[in-house]
Amino acid sequence: MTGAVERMVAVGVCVALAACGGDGGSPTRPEGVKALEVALGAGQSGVVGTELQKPIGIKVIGESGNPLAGVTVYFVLRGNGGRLSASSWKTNASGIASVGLTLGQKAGANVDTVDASVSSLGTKVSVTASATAAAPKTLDVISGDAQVGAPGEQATEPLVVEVHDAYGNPNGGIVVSWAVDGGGTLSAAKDTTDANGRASVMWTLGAGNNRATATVAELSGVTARFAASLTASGVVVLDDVSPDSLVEGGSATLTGTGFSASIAANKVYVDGVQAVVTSATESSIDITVPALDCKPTRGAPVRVVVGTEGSNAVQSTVVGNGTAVSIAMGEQLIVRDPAKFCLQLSPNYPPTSYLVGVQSVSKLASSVTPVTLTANAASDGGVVAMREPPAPLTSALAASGSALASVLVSPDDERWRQHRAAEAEMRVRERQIAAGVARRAAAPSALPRISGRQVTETVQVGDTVPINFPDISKNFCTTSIPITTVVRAVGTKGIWLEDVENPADGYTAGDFTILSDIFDNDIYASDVAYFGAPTDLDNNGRVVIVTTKEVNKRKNTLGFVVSTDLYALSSCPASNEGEFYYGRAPDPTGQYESPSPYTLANARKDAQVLIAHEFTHVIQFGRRLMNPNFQDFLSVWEMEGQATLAQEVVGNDLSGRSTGQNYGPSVVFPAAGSTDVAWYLPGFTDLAIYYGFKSPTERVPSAPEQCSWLNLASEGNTGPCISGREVYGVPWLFLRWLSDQFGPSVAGGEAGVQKALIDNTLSGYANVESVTGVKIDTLLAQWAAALYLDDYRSPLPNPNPRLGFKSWNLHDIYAALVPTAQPASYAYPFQSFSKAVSVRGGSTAYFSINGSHVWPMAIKLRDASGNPIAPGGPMQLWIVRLN
Amino acid sequence: MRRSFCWLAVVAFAACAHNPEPRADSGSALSEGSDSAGSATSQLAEVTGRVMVGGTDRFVMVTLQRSDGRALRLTGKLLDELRRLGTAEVTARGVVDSSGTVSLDVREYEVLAIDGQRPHVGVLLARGPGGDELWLAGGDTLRLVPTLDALRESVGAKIWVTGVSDPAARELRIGSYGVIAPAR
Repeated sequence: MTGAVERMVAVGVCVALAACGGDGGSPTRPEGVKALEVALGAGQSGVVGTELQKPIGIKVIGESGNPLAGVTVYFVLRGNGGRLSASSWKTNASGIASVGLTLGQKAGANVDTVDASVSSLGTKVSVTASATAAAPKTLDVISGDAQVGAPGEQATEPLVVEVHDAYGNPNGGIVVSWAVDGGGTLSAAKDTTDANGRASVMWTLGAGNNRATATVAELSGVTARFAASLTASGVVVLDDVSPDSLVEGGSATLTGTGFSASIAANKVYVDGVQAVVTSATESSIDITVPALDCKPTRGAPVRVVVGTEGSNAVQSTVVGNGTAVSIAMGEQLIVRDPAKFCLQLSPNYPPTSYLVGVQSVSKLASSVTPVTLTANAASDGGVVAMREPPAPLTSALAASGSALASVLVSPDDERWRQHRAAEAEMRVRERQIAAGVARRAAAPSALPRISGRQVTETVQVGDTVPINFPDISKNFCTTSIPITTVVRAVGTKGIWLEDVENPADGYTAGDFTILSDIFDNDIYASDVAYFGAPTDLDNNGRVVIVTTKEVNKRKNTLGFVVSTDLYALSSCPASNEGEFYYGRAPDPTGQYESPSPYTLANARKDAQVLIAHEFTHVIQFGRRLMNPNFQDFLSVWEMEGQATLAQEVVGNDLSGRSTGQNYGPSVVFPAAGSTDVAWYLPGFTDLAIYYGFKSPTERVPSAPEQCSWLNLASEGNTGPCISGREVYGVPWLFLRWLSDQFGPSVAGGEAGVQKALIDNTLSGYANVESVTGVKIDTLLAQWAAALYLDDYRSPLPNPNPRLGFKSWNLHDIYAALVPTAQPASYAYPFQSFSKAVSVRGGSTAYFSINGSHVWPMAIKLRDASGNPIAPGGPMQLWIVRLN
Repeated sequence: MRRSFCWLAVVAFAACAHNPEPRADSGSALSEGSDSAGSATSQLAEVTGRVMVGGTDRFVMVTLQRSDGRALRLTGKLLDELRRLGTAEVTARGVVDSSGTVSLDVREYEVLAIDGQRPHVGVLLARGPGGDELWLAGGDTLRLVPTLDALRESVGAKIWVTGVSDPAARELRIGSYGVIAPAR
């Protein structure tokens, strides 16, 4: 029911109530109807198939000359296939009965007529409405195709196209763009359709292929095509073209009769394009085969024109320019030079599949590069409409997906999402503080001098310890909130403090003991093994873990580390001068806002993951700062990606697993009702969001190509997949892939890769290149392909091992997700297509080309204007053969 | 552990104050003397280097890393713009902090290269009949081609664009682009 109809129904109910209400007085004779008048909606116009903006209202006038309420008006729609919202309606208090009209499918003036009548009156009134055509839907060739003529002659028939809407109504006023491809000239480059939806031009034939096209901006990817044939005069005869296969840019020799010995007098056309004649006799012509913009290898006519005399055409094979794709199944070809952004695919008659990546290797998350990928098949009749993107990775994936969809929007996940969003807010305050820290640290008069350890290695359970809680709503280098804590556990690697003012019914003594043991025996050991030992600036041999209600006061925050605790009091008066982590206190009754309540069960579940993650930051900050060649901290994606990797390795250790085991969904997703800690799920949730997951039924368009993982929104990552988690899960999988791939070749194995990243002095792409010895362009291309292809179907024969993960079976994990959480590609058959995409730094637009590959195909990447991409830009093109 | 802490302090100092004289290497002082606030040790400086954005997502630090690897912390009202230019090469001009010359309060900057390419920087304008054309008003005022629908929502924003320019036609063919400061 439309809004208008709903409103009418509501109005009608009110009218009915008013009519029935009366005043309880004596009955009177109903007043007769004198006349009907059109009160509303006359003379309207709308688009065919749509409802008119205003209803049609008929006023009933009584014998007294006043409007009559409660009279039934009958409506009849004549012709044109439209419909009324009701066939009858009673008049309201103003004597008006209204009805909505949905126009029929035919466009024209006054094509829809509504007759209105009442039973007590023999006359009727009519209301007409006009309909205009809907948006253009088709572009048809009316006439002018397949004509025959001589070069220089005007074709006898004009080229005529017609633009229709979906109902067959002509669209007038549409600009048609005309172009020739292969010779001849047109009388106009643009023309506007008339009232019949038609536009036309005249065509003077050339000596070449003689093809013409018509397009309209409103119909992307639709082209009307015309072709003309030339009559051979018999004066100029082309007997042979050598070699059999012409190579664009190469030489060829034509033999025949009737040629001119003057080079300039001969015109040779190959595939409709004029070639350069390098020498000529009356029976032989040498040419340079014209090089075109990424045409496939194809059959093409060769023709000679001498003066106005045209020769017969000799069909030859022309080999297109470009980068020949000659790769085995499972292999990847990476093209970085824009001059080579033309891939030539040879036909391979059995069903074939390629995965093509259009990738930006820009270092900036703010960088967006608009490009167009165009495929040109040697013979397919032109551009085909794109299949609905995105296509799922495999057709078999969706079956089990819906059952697990809820995992991606679980309460646990939402709590973490909010936590990370809150972290981003905190960052604003942090960066304001950072400069001040540096100034103090740098000033010779402010060289840090430790003023005394707040938490010594001699503390005992039950001791009271004052702590400076960093006031993260202010400058927490200088401002702190004093809290009083009690030592709850002293482990070999951690000292656990609890704020004495925490809400009741929080962690028990047993909880602290368990958490302390887990940290000492698992989290600490795993993180240190993978990322290196932390600093020990306060010389207590431990990390101090503070559980305090002050974290709860910070909305949606689960816990944090501040680097200012690593500075001396002389630099940061609010510092605790050591390695500290602050965690949210259980708050079962919702005493605090953040969010409330925070159950003990959730707190227990979160604590391990949080500490594994945040302890990694303690390691990263400290080790970088202590590096005598320190230049800068790791980039944000390295920091958070590694901290998310810490969740994986700690989770493995705690659950008896190990890396490199190709784990699938049963490991990622906790069983229904399970209280297991979700060590891996947050990272895969981030990946799903990167792929465009919005809900189990909806995905973000243009994902993942417009979604970067290189930074946050405040650093210019304004892509459509913003969740506050950009720098977590996806960088994790990049770093995981690096460890999987380069662990065997780096000292210290896969952990050595991560340690080397921390202990290096570089950051970002340069850091990764330095540690692996491989160019980032190559790494990103391989990783992007691995994300899509890992464990692709049953393993590819002889797959490139770089195109996969050793630790995770992504294919099976994707199969457990709803389709909107899976990686998606723009899917095409082996036919011509063109697709414009915008790619953000670090991301990839995936294209899959599948089916029977009968014709040669050329694929080119061009800039948004259709021109070759300028050298030195961030784009690269890669292709993997799958079948 | 007192020794460790001192070492950290020295490192922190070295990290942030390796470059106490911005005129060295790729940086050069424009002038010296009092800044507007009258600080005796403040100096106007010009420093060229690469913008680096590091740290955790709650502790992002923006620095200018010079060709010799030494870093200078950036501060000031333009920091929100500079943080969107991470890894870009810029020349920043501003006031070096008077207390330790470890940070640069950036008053203006010029983007020299993004991903190795010289960008055009300016404000995105909608012009022409019906505002159909997009122009970049900066050092030169150039019409952007093609007219990208995706850019229309950024009219009024300060953006960078790399690509091929045709000064005679006053056109800039878009290669890549990015938003430096959203429209106000």
